[in-house]
Amino acid sequence: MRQSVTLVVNGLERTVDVDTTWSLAHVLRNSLGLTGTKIACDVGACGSCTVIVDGRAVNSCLMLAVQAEGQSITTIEGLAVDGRLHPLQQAFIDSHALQCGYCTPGMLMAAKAFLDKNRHPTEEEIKEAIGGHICRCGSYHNIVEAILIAAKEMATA
Amino acid sequence: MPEGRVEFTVSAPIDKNWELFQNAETWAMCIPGCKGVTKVSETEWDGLFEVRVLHTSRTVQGRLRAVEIKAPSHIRYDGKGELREAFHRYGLTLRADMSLEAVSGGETRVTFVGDIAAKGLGGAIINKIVSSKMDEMVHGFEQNVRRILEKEG
Amino acid sequence: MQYHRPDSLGGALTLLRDLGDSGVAIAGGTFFVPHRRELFTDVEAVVDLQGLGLDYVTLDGHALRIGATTSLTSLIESGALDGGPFKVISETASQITPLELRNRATVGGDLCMSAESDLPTTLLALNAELVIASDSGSRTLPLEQFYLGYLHTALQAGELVTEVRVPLPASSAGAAFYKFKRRAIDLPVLNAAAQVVLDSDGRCPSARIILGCAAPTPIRASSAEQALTGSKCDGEAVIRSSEAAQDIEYQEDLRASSEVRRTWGRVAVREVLRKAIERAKGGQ
Repeated sequence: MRQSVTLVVNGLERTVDVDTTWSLAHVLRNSLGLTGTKIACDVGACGSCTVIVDGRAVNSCLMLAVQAEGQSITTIEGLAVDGRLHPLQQAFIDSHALQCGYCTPGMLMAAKAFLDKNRHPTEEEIKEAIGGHICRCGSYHNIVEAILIAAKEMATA
Repeated sequence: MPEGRVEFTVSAPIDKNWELFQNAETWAMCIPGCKGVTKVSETEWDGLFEVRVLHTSRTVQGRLRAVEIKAPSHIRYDGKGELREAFHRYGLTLRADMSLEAVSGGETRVTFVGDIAAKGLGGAIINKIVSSKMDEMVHGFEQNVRRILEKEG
Repeated sequence: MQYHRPDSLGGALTLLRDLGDSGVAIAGGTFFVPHRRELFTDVEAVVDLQGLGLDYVTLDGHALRIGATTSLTSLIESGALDGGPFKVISETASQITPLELRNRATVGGDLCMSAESDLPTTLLALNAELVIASDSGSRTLPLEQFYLGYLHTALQAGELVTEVRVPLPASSAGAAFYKFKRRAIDLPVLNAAAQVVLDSDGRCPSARIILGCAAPTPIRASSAEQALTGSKCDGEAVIRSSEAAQDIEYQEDLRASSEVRRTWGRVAVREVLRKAIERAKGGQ
């Protein structure tokens, strides 16, 4: 069934016509053109579709778009502010924490939501926070390092 | 799935029960979800079943074979079936021993002993679901059999 | 598929009554959404419970009360469970991974929709009860009577679990949870929870030991309980009890063989008893 839904994404209100069975991931990509969020497994097992909803990292493939009405959504496109990269993004570049880049938006959003609540994480805590994310290229070590570096950067900022 | 036993008493004489139970075209239709049974030969039948699970249903196709018949009280069956998913087919095997026993007062005790099992490791989930639906299906089967035999009796 | 988001419990219950089998209630939706095209093909309408205010964790003198749509993260962050007799609930929820799942999955959903899960095991050990509402009233049901079979609960069409109540354990009780699974995104292979009560002699007059994922529904490890009750609850008693849990028929499926589950059954019972007894001795 088609329904109109208003989503607040990256601070902007967007109203779109959706099918009630469409996932938030699908609507972000196809109705709103925000293709930074990736869909790989579509069942909440890979983390590539992770966005932040009301401050918490969620798998957008596990939410119907209509469920997200009234909530505040941040996608990877909303991470950089006024063209300035977020410390996490800079750290990922500097630490070579991506190869193909497919897991990266999901990793960054999970990391951001995590660091926003945990300014002084241990390596173990970071690994736990990204436990739901698969990196097929095997960049885990650099990803964890990048998050540690970004945490220090954010703590001193 | 572990072996199961279904037992109930029908208020109808044994020969009336035998009439129903010696032809799978009639008794298999009593199984809840049965959509149709076709006789293939004197001892073989094809059946189509629809099973409802959670908020969906699945179709099971099967062939039943009577491998031993001792009128008017006993039939041994075996069978093979298939449950189709979008990208997978579960093979099912069936074993059942049916017995009828005349008891006092013109009644008959009907007993089925056997099991249905989905093959392979993937089949475990099917077995668990079948197991959870057994009580409901047995109850429905019993009611349908009584409706046929006891009304006429 | 219609989508409804009622703003009152009464409205939701009327909707669910009218929809009957063709409707399904969702909170986080973490089971419904990925399976919507496979297991929910007959659903004509979805009733979203997020607007009903069933998102709370309160502790009064007698019991812990958890609203059914409380997310696992909210449960852990509520503070009501820290350091007290209900710490085991928070510990259980924290082991449901990944983080993204905890942020959306709810207590009610985990109890009603999930076949292989962790909260039921712990809440059964704590002898929880459910508040179940419908258009015609509400009832309470011990969680022990809720699981009838694999993916088959005692909920009737039109009914909704609105709250989980956990009685305050005795001060001489201790509880613990343990699970084995392979990776962050896997369902548990086997889990166990125990609540042990100690008397002034250090003996155990009663224990509840629950095994999850060993059978199609969570079960009480009665032989293990019997082996422990009356004993001095020392290391030997714990080993005896964990050996007694071997008499269960452990299920075999894609996730693990019955032998693997049998091995973990012994370990899990041993671990939860050790910790529960330690906590009982320490007065939690």
